[in-house]
Amino acid sequence: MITTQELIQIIKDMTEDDIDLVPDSSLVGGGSIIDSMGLVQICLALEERSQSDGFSFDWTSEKAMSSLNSIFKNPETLAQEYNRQLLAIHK
Amino acid sequence: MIIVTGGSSGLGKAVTEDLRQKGENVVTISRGNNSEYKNHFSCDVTNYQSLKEVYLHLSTNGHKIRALVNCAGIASMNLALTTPPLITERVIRTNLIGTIYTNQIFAPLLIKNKGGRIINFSTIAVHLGLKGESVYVASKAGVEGFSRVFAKELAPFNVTVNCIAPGPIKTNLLKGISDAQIRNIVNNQIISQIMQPSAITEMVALLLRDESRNITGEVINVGGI
Repeated sequence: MITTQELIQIIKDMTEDDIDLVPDSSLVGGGSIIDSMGLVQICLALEERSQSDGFSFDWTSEKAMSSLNSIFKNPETLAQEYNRQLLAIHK
Repeated sequence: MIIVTGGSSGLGKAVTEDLRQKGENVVTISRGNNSEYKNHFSCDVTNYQSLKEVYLHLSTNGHKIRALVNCAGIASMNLALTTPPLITERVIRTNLIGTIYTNQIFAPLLIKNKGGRIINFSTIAVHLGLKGESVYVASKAGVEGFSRVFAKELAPFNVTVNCIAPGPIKTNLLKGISDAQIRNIVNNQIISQIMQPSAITEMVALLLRDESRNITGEVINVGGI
């Protein structure tokens, strides 16, 4: 499982600037402090982590795309999606 | 490592063999069961899930991929009015959707490798607007459009995306095209001759070179138009 705080730390570690990121900070859209390049890097970082958790984080599934806004809405929703996929694979 | 799709026949095979001769470690993906190659995955480029499994295999085993060469493709020469829907769908699915899938799925491997090259295949027929190739041209025009946009999306990751657009090359794709049609196409090229597969393998090698790192979003018409 990943906590929202862990996810925030992953994002902070990837960005060079010292960004102010909280659980409900926007990750996509006009108010986002992450650009599209950053979003791809977050996905790749989560995929890498997921392999050590025994699954492969899928950010392109139909389900993920249909709820794109909610998944990438903020760190909290992204952590929730990660944990949902993790739990689904270990059911 | 370099991934080559459609690596078991035609241009894909020529590209694969040329890269291997140059000492490159090549992963081939094609529908055929090609046991002669060490790193071969039997997989249809129109099957997203199968491609994803290849990606996961390469990713979890830590393979470093520096290039993707998309040679998988089919041709069908018909007047638009006489093209059956099944053929239309097959051509679009293999040439356009297959190229989009492979680009989407394998690009993250290049990003993880801090950069790389994607080479997609179009055709000189896109520029020439050849009669009798409307569906084929539509699929390849889509590949060109996709490649130009994808080049922009991947530029921040040091990944280049280009298209090679060959004229008539001596492969099975030319089956069903008359000599007169081939002469007509060739006459429209600046270098008016039927190219050998080596003309394409040389172009691939050129784009793979480090010196080509600033060439992206381009369509290179082999022989010139």
